Amino acid sequence: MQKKILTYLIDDSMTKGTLDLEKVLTIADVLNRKQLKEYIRALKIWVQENTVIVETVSTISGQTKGEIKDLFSDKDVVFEENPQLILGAKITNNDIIYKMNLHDTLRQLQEYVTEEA
Amino acid sequence: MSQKKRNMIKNQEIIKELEKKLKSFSSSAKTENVGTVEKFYDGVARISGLSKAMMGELIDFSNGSTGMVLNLDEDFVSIILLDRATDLREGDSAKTTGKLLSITVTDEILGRVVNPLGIALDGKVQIKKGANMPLERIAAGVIERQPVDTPLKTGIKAIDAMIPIGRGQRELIIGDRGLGKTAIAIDTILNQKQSKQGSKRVICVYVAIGQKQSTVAQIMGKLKEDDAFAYSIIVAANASDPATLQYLAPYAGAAIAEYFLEKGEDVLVVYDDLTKHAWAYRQISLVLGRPAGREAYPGDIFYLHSRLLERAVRLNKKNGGGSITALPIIETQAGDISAYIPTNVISITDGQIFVEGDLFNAGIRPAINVGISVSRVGTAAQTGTMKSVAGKMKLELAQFRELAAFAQFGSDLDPATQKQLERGKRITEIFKQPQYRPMTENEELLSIITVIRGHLDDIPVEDISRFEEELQGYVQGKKHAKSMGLLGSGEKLKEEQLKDIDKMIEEFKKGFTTK
Repeated sequence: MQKKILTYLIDDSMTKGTLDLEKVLTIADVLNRKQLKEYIRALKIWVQENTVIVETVSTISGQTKGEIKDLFSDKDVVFEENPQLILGAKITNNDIIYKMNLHDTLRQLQEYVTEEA
Repeated sequence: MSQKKRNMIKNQEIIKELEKKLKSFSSSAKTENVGTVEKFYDGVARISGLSKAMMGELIDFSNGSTGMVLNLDEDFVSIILLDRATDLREGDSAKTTGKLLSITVTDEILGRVVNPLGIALDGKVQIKKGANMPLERIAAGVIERQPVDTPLKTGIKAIDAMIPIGRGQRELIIGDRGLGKTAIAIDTILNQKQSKQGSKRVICVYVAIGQKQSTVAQIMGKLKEDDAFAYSIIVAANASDPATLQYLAPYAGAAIAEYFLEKGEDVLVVYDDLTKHAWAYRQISLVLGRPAGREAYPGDIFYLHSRLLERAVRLNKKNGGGSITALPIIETQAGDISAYIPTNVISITDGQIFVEGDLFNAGIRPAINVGISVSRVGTAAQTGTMKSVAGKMKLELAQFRELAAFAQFGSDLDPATQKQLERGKRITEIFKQPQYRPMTENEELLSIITVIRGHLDDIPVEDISRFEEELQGYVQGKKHAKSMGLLGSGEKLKEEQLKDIDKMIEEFKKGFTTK
């Protein structure tokens, strides 16, 4: 399937900037297996591009959440808890990950020591 | 010093290193650019994401493999894997490293066999600490360079006299398979052991591309046997290695050479051979889906070799005065030098040494066709002595070739023509040299003077090699040290000096008996 057609299909799958299940199923019904695979892949990429995942050790206040949402105003922000981080946060914005937590800092230090040894 | 105290010092060093590292940590977040494997085929992974990836950047995969970015497309990047990575799967993650491919080099790499990533192949300790030399690097510019002015002796009479190579030159060795191209390169490496008389040592890097492991082992054995391995390095990407490694091998060789160049050393790099290198790059390009051009090679095949050979350099004193001499090897098919890759490399290099099957089969070894071989810059690096004797020989040989072609049509030849033909046969004979027996410049000069001064004119052709060998032995004594010293002076020889040498040869000749 051409990239241009896929873009049209993705646009037609939306209602007010979010995916509409009814529209998605209507489109899926008319696609063959190969086209459906490409459509699903394109949807996945769209979701990934338009979602920001914020991982923190514990629940954060509504005010902080609001401030973070303001930073990514054009994207859907998802908040998750991840105690493995020990301290700090991890933000995944499409293919870029911001690591501001103790777990990753310690791992970085460990990698450095291993390399030097 | 007690073990405890030594351990304490080591611990303190480690803590200091960590403190240094801590200082380098910035308070800002560590950013990681990630992607997902969409496809993996023939050593190439197609990854979605990685929007910040750079061309040539190293990519780490979640399965521990490493790759290098070779294609940047709108929606995905194509990465060539640097190992076999059979366990890489669709959906595995990959992340950028911000690093370009480099090889760790120290002085300890001398006498080692490594792969293009610097991994030891000789079973010895892995080189971990050292300078990180990038595999791809822009060659030195015009301002940093100086003309070639120092000879790089190959120890092969025909080359040193007729097709001289200078330090910093790129001289192509071209010919069909099995005609002794590698032998010329190995002889040149072996001859660097003889570098003395005030000249700088030459470090040798032998890059084996797509060769059999047994061949590489054989070469290593020969270098060890002749004590040449101590100043040599072998970079091997064998026939069984992925095309990626074969593609990277010459760049790794150049990177190692550049490490020594930066220290002001003279380096010789042998790329054996660039035909297989072009094949490896063609394979990668086709798998990457790049448009195929002539002989299915990609459009940038010329740039592949030109950027590599441009790294051969003779730096000026201000920049350390080191040099990298390149001896690329090209294998032709049925002597066809007008094929795509041979013509490319011929146009890039500063001269070519042609080896021919007909000469090889006629017993002329090394089978160099001195008629069509050429060195465009090496003559400037020749010593005055060699220049004065080789010039005359070149002329005589050219006349011989012309007459030999003409003499095929008639049997009645005047004495002058016959004399020239006989002289030509003797010059051709004196150029024969056994493999792995490089000669010093003095020995080469003595042989050449012997033939051009007419001392061999009355010696039967079949006795010439014995004559030469015995003469070389005869002049080794203290008695002839003065005459031989004249040859080593590097200055153009005067007539009376030549007469001294003539006298010495005549003395020997009196005791020589022909068969």
